[in-house]
Amino acid sequence: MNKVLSDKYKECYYETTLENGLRVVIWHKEGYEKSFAIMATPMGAFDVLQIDSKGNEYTYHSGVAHFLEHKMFECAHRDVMEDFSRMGANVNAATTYDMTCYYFQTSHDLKEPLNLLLDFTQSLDIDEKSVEKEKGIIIQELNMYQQMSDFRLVRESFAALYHEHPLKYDVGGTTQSVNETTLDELKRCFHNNYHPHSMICVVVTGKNPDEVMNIIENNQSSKKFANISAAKRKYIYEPKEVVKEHVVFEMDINRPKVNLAFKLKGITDPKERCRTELYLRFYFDALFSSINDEYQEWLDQEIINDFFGYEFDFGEDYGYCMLYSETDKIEEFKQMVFKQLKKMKSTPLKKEIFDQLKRRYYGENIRELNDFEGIAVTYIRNYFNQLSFFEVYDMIENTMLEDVCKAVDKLDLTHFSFIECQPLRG
Amino acid sequence: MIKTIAEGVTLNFIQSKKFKDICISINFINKNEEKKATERSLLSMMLIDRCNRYDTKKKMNEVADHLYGCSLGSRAVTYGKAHCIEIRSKIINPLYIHENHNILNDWLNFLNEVLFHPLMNHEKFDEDLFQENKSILLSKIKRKEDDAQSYTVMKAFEIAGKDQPLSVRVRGSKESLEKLKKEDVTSCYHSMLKEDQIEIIVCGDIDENALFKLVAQKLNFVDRKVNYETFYLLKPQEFGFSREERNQPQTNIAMVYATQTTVKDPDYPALKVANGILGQLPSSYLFQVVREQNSLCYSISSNLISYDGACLISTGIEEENIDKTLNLIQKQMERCKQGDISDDLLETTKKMLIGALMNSLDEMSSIIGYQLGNSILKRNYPIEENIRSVSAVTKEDVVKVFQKMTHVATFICASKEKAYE
Repeated sequence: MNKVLSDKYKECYYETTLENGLRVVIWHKEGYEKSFAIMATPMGAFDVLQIDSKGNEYTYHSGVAHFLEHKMFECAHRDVMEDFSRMGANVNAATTYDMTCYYFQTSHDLKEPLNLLLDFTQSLDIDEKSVEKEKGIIIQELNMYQQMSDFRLVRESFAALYHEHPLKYDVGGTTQSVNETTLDELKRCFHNNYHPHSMICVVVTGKNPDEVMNIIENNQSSKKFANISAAKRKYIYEPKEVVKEHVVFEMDINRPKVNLAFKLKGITDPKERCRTELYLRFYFDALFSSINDEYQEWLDQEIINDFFGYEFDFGEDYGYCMLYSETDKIEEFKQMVFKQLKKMKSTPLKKEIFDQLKRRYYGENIRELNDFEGIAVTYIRNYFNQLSFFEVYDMIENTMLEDVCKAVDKLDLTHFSFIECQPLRG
Repeated sequence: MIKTIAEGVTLNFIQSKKFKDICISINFINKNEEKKATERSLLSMMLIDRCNRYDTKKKMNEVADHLYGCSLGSRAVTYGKAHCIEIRSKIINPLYIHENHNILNDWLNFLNEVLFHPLMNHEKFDEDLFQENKSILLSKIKRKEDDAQSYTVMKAFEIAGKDQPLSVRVRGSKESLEKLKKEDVTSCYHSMLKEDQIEIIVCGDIDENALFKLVAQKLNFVDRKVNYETFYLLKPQEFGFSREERNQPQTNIAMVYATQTTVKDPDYPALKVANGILGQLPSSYLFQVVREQNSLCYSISSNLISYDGACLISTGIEEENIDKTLNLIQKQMERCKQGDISDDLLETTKKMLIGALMNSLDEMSSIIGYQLGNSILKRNYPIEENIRSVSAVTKEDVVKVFQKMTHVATFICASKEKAYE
């Protein structure tokens, strides 16, 4: 086990890769009773087309990663959730675009639920009947999100931006894709993506790290895994133009919600990607939050309200940034955003604002180390991007003002869509 | 440590080395009535927005960022007959800063400005500050109504809690907000400072005496006589039902039961177990039967509204399955009342609840919430004792509390449209 100790952040973790390829991390939180354990695979909603090292291609219905997540909880006709409950552990799972993860938290004994976590994420035991039964549940989950206007606003925005990229699909897919998903497809998807080679297990715990590692090693050494040709996401060509520049849809709401969404170029190098996101965070916080004096005017003129926000994300083959608000002054909102973005390109970030934000981000980073789940998920995300945990943490301190200014020069903001969610007419 | 820093003002300190930061939660407690709730909810937003010394959001940000991004938030919460404004702030522990800077002192100075020197002109709240936050609160209230799930719960509470605190919305109402003047909020502020019961809770790794001195000096509240009621029992009145339709893909259901068991009742631990058996957990009957066996929903749960003596069941389904779902939910409640509860389920539920209590010792917000609950209920009830009470609950205790539960309201917000393809 490789021990990583940070004096600066007063944290310590151990990492290793087992013989079968499983990456294991034990993050030691002394003084705590509770433990949080997570198993993750980089298979997510992006993976609708995969290719293995032999060149075989696999096509899946959208939402298959999420469907599989639901079905993993059945194991030899036992209900895994009930088993965790019996052990006094809270279990859950989540599918995002770039990963699927299974996790539990407990303040009782760790051994039994940890073994169960490793077992149920490494085997699939389902039949036609259980697959069909799940469809109704998943469709209700999709409907639950579809009735939320903020969720729909983002969904419609991705659909307006992307022709081919799987971001155009909801993580859960559509009613149709869920209904068309088959038993064989789920089995194939499991086989290709849940091999220990592809997965990572992180345990954040107050318990003795050696003992925790022993549990995992014993569990893994007792199992045999066939050699497989691991499948990876296959990138699909995506034009740089958007699908639709303007979309209007209606919902049963009181006030319009709008989103100005920009389609940006993906960034191949993970470190570069991570830095660009940080640099943009400086600029967006400086321009679009109350650090900017003009922010108060936008509020007073009701161009924005408390719903106003922004986000951006980059992957190897995609990038976007979006700014959204609830407003009746739609034209003014658009003008305000364009004016600020123009300013971002033409005016360098002020030194005092840069320093102020650096202090803020440092404090936020420290505070995030209280959060077991946050630590585990951040570690995993960095690991899938071949980045080390504290390397990313230190990025803030090592950032120079010039780098931040240079990063926005490269941004191409020519391709965008404007999405309006309007109250129902009549 | 618990100390009285003025009559009606208590400081609770929980020393803990587990966390990277220090948190202060200042709770102002008064009566829960509709007009008051609206005023107080608006006031809680205005106080943390700007103050006299830092009269712009930009200046507020500068101070907070100088303190390494210390957080400052407020919220309104109800505890049955009581309404509570919570001002909460967190700062990183000085162990993590590498400069000579007394951040704790500056932090408390900042909180002093926020609480005692709000942005006023001629002894009334600043007009712009008032108008801006009024408009934002209105947006928040409307947005809550836009959300079909929240709307359904709100309507069910209105029916079940007619003329009782359960029907009061914590953020207040559109109607009373529209009528509100800045003079109302100004007098509400003065009453908050002088009349509210104040519970201050601090958690983190910090010297006890230094903290006490600092808080007593910077948060210098005057004495006040306090005796606010909190928990009560929702009346098991005649059953009320209502249904509305909306253009949305899902049908939402909310059902309210009067528990007839207060949060301080010796039966309360049994009620917690009962709720766990019925619908709080994945092992619960509602999840197992309605979702797992019948695939009718994605989420279904029961929750205790402890201070109001109520239990809420909510779910989202297809419109065509309304009758089947209502029927299944009622059947689960009935089987619990009949004592159809296996020893396994009882033990699993208790273990999960005990796990959650143990877990709360490791989370700052739970530690603070637990302590606040104790202060509000004027009791010393350590988590260990709570765990012992849950362990001691028997099947008979659970059946007894189930039998006290009465169905008082159902609200359905039905879908008018087909699901999106």
